[in-house]
Amino acid sequence: MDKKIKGYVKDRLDPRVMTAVLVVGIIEFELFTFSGPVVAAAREDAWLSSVLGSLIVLVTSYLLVLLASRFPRENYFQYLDRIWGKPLAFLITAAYLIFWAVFLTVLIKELGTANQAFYLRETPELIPKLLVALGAAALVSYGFPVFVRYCQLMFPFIMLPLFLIFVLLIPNIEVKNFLPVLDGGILPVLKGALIYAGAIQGPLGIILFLSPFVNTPRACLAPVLTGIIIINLVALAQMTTAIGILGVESAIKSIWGGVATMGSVELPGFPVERFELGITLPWLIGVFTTCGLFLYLLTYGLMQVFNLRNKRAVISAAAALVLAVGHYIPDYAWTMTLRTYIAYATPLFVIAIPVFTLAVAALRGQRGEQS
Amino acid sequence: MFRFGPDKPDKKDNELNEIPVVDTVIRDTQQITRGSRKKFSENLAYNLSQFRERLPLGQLSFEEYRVGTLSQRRVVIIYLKNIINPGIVDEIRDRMESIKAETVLDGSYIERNLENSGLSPFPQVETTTRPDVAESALAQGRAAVVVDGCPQVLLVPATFFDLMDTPEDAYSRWFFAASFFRVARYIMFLLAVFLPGFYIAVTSFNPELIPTALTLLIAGNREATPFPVYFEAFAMMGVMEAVRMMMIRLPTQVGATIALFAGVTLVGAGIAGHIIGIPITMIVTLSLISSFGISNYDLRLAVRILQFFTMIMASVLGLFGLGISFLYIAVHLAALKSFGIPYMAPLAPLEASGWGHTVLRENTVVMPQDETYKPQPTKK
Repeated sequence: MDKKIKGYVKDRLDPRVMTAVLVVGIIEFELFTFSGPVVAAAREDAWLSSVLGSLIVLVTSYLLVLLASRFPRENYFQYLDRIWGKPLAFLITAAYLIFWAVFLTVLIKELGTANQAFYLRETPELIPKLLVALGAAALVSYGFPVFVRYCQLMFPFIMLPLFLIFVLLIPNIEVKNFLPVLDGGILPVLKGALIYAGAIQGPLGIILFLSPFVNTPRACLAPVLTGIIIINLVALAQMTTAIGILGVESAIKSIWGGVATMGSVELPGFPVERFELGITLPWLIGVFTTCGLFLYLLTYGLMQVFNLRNKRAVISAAAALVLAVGHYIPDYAWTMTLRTYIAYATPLFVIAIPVFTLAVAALRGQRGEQS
Repeated sequence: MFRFGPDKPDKKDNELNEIPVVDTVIRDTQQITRGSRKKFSENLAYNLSQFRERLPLGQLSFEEYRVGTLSQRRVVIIYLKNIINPGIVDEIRDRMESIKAETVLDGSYIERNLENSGLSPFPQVETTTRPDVAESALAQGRAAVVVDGCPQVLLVPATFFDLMDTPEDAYSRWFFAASFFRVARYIMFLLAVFLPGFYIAVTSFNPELIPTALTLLIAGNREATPFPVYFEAFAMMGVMEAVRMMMIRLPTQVGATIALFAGVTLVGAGIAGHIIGIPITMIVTLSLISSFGISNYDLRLAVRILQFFTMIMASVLGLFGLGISFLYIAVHLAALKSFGIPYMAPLAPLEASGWGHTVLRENTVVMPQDETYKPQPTKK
């Protein structure tokens, strides 16, 4: 046995942590917005789109685990150049970094807008965004094992309120809002499914960049699929409660569908009247964690690609840049537009490129050095 | 440094064989309803004899240090060599040998040198005056640090759940009740830290989230009070802290009575004169009661300071500020370690084997062993 406790407890992660990390790292604004474009595309059949989209995300996650298993102890950027060649790998890496930076910028901007709408109406947007950025930067600076522990710690605080909220909302759902089924045919459902799959940005980063910390990435399969199923159930619950309670037209027009859904619930005789409060903590945890996750991916990606050493300087600079750029997004309409573009780009980055990478690696018989 | 015990003849065994008469002193930092009331004392020999009485000498190891260039205070590290992770012992030795001090007035001097982070509000070393708690800690793969002249024994490493533990959890007959009160203690911890801030946030920033009947009650009570909610909250917390300090400083016979009288009179006069409101008095009292549900003294102190932090964040940024303070505290807890052991183990990292005697108490007839402190595998 290695005598030094520092050597013994090497922060080598148990594959089972993937469930908590996925759930806490991916859930964010879905709680407030429940992916409105899906409802706009598929209308009453948006729940079907959620189910189909969930299957797409599940299959993608399975393939991502397979890819990670071929290259244990290496993260995604480390083996891209062996598969695609250095020039193309560099372009792909740069594209990912830009994608993550844009997503993070939009996320922080949305945070500021939502915060101003519900909690701090007169406080300048920059202050809450700065506080979240500072906390996320601190979390990232401690490294990924600490991020994983943080996700495990937050898991009950995000899941229990969501479960209670859903239980409260069930009696208010009107089934007639889901009828008629497949009135517009299958094409809107498929379109909605693709948009749904595009709304889930997190699995790639978590699965492909967490694998170096896990002894056997293949052992992550069951926890990954469990985490994805939980996320999909949460999203499905949001979708069905929003349509079932608000109706399709209100759900499409509503900017903060999740909050509107909660606000419409009335339980006569129950001491609590405004249930929006219950969504505050899960939302904040989800947004904060997702900011931390993407800041981690962005900064460690930059450090890896450009061989930068000063971790804190890179983290601080990245957080400051994201804050500054986000501050100049004019209004929420711009933010929603950017979100839509991100949703269209996500299938390329999260599904297409990794799946092609896996296919090329399998065809060439390429594996990691420690495989 | 000396190592002594039956197999190490450097030190005379006489010291361990003589059990001195201990002064009858009230040591009521940890009260319990069931279990032994035996306590450690200032006498090092007596304290070491308690370990010898309770645990097999064959496995027990003692390592003595002389700390302090002026005082040469004797400090003894005790552990079960067949159970403890050797890495933890090495880490303790490294830290003990790096202590540079002239005098060691109390065990807290050693404690501050052993901790991973002196800046953290959360203690990373557990202190106890109870031999049974120390015995349990050794059996779990931890070490005890005994300082001559100090009745508090340091137990290292320590996780958050160790600090929230009480001996009654292990001594209660019915596991369900023990688990229930354990969970209640964690809820009390959250209430103690966040309740005053939550009250400030909802009443000052988002009163629409409070049920109508309650809002009208609070508004009616606050109508005549001149100060904003956060001012009342801070003032009440200050009064509570002052009363608490009074109770500690005054002689026991009259201290409690005078402190109680002073506190009740002050608060009563404030309410009667409409200077403070009834709701804030109830909130602050409830958070104070909740804080006393925490058994560890250092953790309780940390909670009192964290209360002020969350209140400041809530006063400035409402519910969002309260949420951010929660997240900051969570990030800190996730990052904190004690001798290489994550502070929130076995919750984060999740180790199911440890849940049976940390968050809950499982229905067993023997004390379970978990992997939190990475003990050596037991030989059968």
